[in-house]
Amino acid sequence: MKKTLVAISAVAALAIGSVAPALAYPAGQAPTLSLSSVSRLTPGDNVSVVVARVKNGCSVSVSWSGGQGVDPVSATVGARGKTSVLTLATPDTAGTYTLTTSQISANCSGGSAVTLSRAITVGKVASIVAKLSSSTGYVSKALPVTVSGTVKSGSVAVANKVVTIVLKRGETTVDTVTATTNGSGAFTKAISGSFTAGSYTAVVSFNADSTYTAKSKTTAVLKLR
Amino acid sequence: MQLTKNKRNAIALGVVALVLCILYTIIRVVLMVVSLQGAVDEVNNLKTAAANKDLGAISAGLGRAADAIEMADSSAQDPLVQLFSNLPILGNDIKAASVVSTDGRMVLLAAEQVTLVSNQLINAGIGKKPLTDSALVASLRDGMGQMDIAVQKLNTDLAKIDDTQLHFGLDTKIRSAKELVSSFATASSRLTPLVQVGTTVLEQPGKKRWFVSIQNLAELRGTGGITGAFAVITTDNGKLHLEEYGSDKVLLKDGRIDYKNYPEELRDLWGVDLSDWRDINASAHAPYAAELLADGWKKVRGKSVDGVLFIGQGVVSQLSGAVGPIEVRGVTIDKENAVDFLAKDIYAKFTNVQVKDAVVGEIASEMFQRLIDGKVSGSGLFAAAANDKTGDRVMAWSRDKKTQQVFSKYGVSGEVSTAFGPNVTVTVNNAGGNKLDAYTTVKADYLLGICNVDTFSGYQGRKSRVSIEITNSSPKGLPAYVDMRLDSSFGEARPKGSNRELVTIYGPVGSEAELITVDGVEEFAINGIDRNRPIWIFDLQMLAGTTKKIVLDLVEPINDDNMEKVSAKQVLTGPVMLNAPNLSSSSSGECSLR
Repeated sequence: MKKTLVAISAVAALAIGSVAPALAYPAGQAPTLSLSSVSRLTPGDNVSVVVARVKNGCSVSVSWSGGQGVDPVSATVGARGKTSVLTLATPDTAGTYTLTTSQISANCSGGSAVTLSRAITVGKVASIVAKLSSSTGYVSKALPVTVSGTVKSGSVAVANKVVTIVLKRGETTVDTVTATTNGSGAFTKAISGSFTAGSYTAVVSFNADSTYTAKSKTTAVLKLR
Repeated sequence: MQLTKNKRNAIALGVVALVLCILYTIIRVVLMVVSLQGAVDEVNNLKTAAANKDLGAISAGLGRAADAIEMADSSAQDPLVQLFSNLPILGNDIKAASVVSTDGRMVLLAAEQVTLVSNQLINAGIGKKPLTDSALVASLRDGMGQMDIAVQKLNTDLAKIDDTQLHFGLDTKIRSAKELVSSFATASSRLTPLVQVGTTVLEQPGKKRWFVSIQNLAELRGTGGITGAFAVITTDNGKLHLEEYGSDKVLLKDGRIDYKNYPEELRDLWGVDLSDWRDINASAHAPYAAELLADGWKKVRGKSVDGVLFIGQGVVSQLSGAVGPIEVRGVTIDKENAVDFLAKDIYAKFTNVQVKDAVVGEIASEMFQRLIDGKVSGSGLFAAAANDKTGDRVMAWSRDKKTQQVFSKYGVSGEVSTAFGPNVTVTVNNAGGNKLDAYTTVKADYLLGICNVDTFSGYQGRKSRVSIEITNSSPKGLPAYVDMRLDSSFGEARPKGSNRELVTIYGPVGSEAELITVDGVEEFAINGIDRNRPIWIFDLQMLAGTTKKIVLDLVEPINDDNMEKVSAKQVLTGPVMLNAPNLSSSSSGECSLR
């Protein structure tokens, strides 16, 4: 222990830093993409961004990756190395999108050419709780299997949501049906048919809309003998 | 109306029982006080043993003090004594004596264990010879942890005693005990992590190589400060060897570090910064920086590193206390001035960088020699630890998963938690390339607010607020080396003493920003994810003498992905910095799931 301290102390005073050739020093020299409060966006809301630490006079545009039906917005960097506030409408459908700048050249960034991007989630996330059950567990009884569950976002039940249920035996799709959640966010669907013995799962999903992002959940395995 | 004989007898019996109870309690209280005095006498006798640096005698003395206080503790635990502690006036005195007896006994027992084991380890040549009994090292580590818990409890309980309500001279004794125990608690909280790390390093089997990053807290980074110097130490079944040490110049001459294999989210946030030795610890998550340092060292010397330790000027000041004053070129460096000298004064006193480096070398050489010669004062180390006002804290990483779990268990791994819960971490990165963080102070507050608010990400949640005040108190007339600006200028006002700081807030997992302001105005922040935690980085230009206030309003989850309520404690972790940050947290109460 003492010798550890010895070794540490021997160089401790050297902690006083020194200037060395610049590589990426000091931290935070590269261009940045800054956003205002973007954690809680509803589809169609505007998002405001600023691109900074870029040379005066350079032009930068910002857009959603893949187009998303919204035109890019552009600005010329000012004397303080920042663009003005750039405002873009978020897509109309909930989901996670990538906001991307045009390529900032090496000349404009002062270092390497760089493209900045940030993933942004628009809309709310709802979670699915689902289970697959059978009253007997035997295929010979020819009883239906039932898929039931709830869709909630936080403490709020998601009502009137159409969920797609894909019943699978192993990797093989057996049936595809839909169900609609009630006022409590609950859904249930009985699937009849002549089943063969095996391990079954149900993949419950719903599409994104103007409020909720798309979601999918696979139930635990149900074994039918 | 006359009472029957039976009733009279019953009353008489009751009165006798009451008198006996009172007498019994008085005897117990007197015994408690006498035993306490006996324990105090034994503790006073320790001074002689301490002066002789006789750990064995100290341990024996602590044992006698623990025996003496046992009777006091037994009295304090007596239900009748506890009942009498509710009496008006005298109750406070009984309570105070009870606290000292019960908590003090735990401290003495733990201290006896620590000194006993330390003595055995020193006699066994710890560090100089291979370890023959690794259980002893583990015993020291556990004992130190237990002593720290006991001391912190005694300190907390003593602080609750209103000494103005005490009598019989107890007020002055408790007041002086409060001061003493408070210093002891500070020293214990500083030294315990060092012992936990040191003993874990020593007990490693076989040969291991450790890279020690000596951080300069005058230029802040996520894990503390810029790596200004380093040491490489090997352990061979507990036998220590200093393999190499030097300044950052040795590291820098070998160029960039390859960071391509690190998490994309980390690269998104810090990018090329991770490739530079001076910036690789920008993230608060110490294991990232540790692995990068280890990778870098492999590139520099072709030797694998098994673990990395991070220390700053706080530890250096403690070592100064251990070795005593050192005089170099007319300057005396001791435990009182080591932090200020190494973070501030050296730049003014020795403006020539080469001379400054020579001074540093001479200090290191002298310190090294004294430690090798065993010219070490345990009491000096302890006093320096008690007086250390820095916000420095040691961090350790090991490539071995089990060892890393040990570091994590002791809270010295510097890991940013990925678990759900009300957990906020704040760091500062100096983006000006100067040494002005010797004059930077941070005040941070974390408030848990109203319930019944859902997050957009699908969790039940509550509102919370993180407030940070950062102040640049740099004085006029600093040497150019201290207040230079190496960051690119974009035309902003940069008078002398100005700085640029990147303040990073790691929000709780799943938390979302509702509003971000700086000095009351809505602000833009760089945001991203690091360790599953949403983070916001504020790029602040700080003129000398100014304070900026960041307020981040959040909605944070109260349940996890299994929809179960999060039960974790509220935690606010401040920056590792030269001036200890002022941290506070509060809550409006528990939230329930709906």
